[in-house]
Amino acid sequence: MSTVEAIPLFTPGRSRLDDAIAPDPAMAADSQRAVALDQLANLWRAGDLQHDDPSASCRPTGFAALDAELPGGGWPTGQLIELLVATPGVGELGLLVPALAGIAQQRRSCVWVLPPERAGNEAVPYPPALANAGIDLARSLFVRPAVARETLWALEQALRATHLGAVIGWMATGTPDGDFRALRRLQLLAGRSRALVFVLRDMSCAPAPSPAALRLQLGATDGCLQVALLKRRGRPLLKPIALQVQPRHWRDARIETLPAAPRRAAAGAAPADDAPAAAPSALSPMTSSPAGRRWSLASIFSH
Amino acid sequence: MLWLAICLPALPLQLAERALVRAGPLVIVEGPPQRPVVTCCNPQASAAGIEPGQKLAAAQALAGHLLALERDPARERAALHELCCWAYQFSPHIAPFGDEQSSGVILETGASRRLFGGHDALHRRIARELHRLGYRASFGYAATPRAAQLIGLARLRGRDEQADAPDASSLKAALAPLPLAWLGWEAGTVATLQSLGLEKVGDVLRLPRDAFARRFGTLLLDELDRALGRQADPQPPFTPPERFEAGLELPADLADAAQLLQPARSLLRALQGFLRGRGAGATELLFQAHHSPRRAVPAPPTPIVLKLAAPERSAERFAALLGERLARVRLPQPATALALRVERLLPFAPAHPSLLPPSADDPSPAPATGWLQLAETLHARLGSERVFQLLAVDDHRPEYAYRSAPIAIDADEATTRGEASPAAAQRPLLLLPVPQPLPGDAAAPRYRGRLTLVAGPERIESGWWDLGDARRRSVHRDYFVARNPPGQTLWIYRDLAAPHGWYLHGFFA
Repeated sequence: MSTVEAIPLFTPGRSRLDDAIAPDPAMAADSQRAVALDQLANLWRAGDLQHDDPSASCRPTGFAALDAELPGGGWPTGQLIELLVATPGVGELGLLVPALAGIAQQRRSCVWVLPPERAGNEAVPYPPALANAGIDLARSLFVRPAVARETLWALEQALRATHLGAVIGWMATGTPDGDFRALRRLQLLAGRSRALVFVLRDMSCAPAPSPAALRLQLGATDGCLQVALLKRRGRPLLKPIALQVQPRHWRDARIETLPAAPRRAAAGAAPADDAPAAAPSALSPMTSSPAGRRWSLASIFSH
Repeated sequence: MLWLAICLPALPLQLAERALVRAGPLVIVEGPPQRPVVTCCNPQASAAGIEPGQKLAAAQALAGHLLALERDPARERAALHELCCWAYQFSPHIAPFGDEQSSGVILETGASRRLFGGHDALHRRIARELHRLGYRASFGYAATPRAAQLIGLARLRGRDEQADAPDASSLKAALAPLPLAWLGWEAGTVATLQSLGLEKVGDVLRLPRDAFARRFGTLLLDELDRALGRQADPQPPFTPPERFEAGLELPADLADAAQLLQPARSLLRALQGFLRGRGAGATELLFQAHHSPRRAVPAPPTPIVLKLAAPERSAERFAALLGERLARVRLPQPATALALRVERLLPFAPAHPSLLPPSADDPSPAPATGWLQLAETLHARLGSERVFQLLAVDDHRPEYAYRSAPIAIDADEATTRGEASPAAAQRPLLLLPVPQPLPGDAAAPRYRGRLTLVAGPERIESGWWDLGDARRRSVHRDYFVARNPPGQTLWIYRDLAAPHGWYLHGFFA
């Protein structure tokens, strides 16, 4: 919206005196319109990001740079938030952990729907790390479904529960149509609850359309988490935000030389793995001739 | 005192009809196996001309596809007992009755009227719940039990204009028009009275008492006095059993476990009535699906156990959980009968609703019911090994520093479990239960690219006391934080034992 421009000193056909007595009607109407529109309270401008929607409350993410770019100033509750990750371990959970700690402080519960079991050695959220981050393990429920269909069912059931704080789910990639329908259903259910709903999916789903209100694409370079907002309510974000999710001192650290393999591992490993009956054999050299055997001080103290 | 008599017409027929779905002529037979005699017949059979008292052979000649079931007095007694347990939620004074005329249950509702919102509300409620259980019945209200029975019997026999007798003064007027045959006296006595010209109860009541007593005995006179309220009529007290047992025969052999939900609902409603009467809740329900005993190799009954975290007594909640549970059940053979047993009753306290409306972001403790019900639903469908809580355990070895535990009922009480010491260093948010060996040589481990070490080493050596234990091992490791070209941050370690291999243990997600 352009502001009121300065009236030129010389208007062809009109003099300043004429303007003072009778201003140009078109120009005056423009300026009046601009002033009137500015005074409207509920006018939405395309460049605006913060529009006050009193029905949706937002929880701060814990990262100021991200809060500034999210509509509402934080994670929106009651809406589906989709996180697209190429590889696990870039910092996707570290991004969510401050908001989950806030939920734990409000004594609300959270439900984790883990990826379906495939090989048997699936990664598990590590309780000491969760407890360190401030998440209340007593109010957290973990679900490990067997197939993808059970994942969706468990997410639906969790969204129907009352007084829930957050739901975090890992969704496998299926057909684009099926995924869209499933996400739409989750979006509708999320609208009825006041919980934070996070769904983590693979990066390959980025080009497919999704009904989620907020879509983030996560990547990592040089120890910084790069968050690109694929979709949000407002103007699109052009360049990704860099967030420091992991400790800062890891960012530029390098360890070039490894400590050498400890020497005691050669002699010390044996008593740890063998049966205790083998331990006394290390003492037997004391009875045999000392010249036939060389043993170091370490081997005496290894058992 | 106001007594209600619930009269069930032709109880054997009703029990058979609960179990059958086909509509055809049906008779109940009784008597020696050489000469079975029809005792009850349903409307289709009556339309074909069958009457009680006929021989079975004659009945089969009259109707083509006749289904004849044997009468089972033990089942009828069990059904009446279940009905008494169900009725215990309305009143503590219950007694079953059963004679040739009708069978049913009498209960004293005068004291319960106020609790249930008045006489009409209580009557509607009893009628509705009895209908949901699957029974047809007539009701009679009177000031004495025997009079209530007779009034109910009158309504059963089609006398819709029969009036109730709520107070003692109206008893005589209510009972007067009833025929003598319905009193259940000996046939000879009734015949004598009829030959004297006395047809109705009112006629007998007008006779002089001492002459009647001399002629027919004091027992009959006492019975009439008890019916009219002139003498006390104490009923034997009913003590509800300590455990609940109920059974239902299925209409057709059900091969799909999910179809068991519908018959299970009527069993659950009976259980709900029983639990309401006892003021208790149940946490463990044992369903058993019985299979046909006529097979060559009869299969044992299939158990279906429903476990809840907190005591519950609502039939809808049980049915919802059972529906989820049945999705996982496979029947080896088609089921012919379903039985429900509840062994333990636990004290039940329904949640108190708050007077104040809940505010949006309430910092006060959240009600645990929603979360608990979610846990129970997930548990019923997915099984106990897939729904769990994680607790931190005080151990330096990372793979043993946590354990999964079943759901804690009370979240506040669970915070005292699982003490954990705060880790000095950063720990990854995702851990692999079994460390994965990394390819690459000792100097340059690789995981989707060459790894660069970023932090470490952290030496963890612990668990020497687990020597010789196959499942738990002692740990001698140097832990590092590494980064790889795709951008993942990994928690890897080098084993200090003889093969100094590199292993991946976690992701700093």
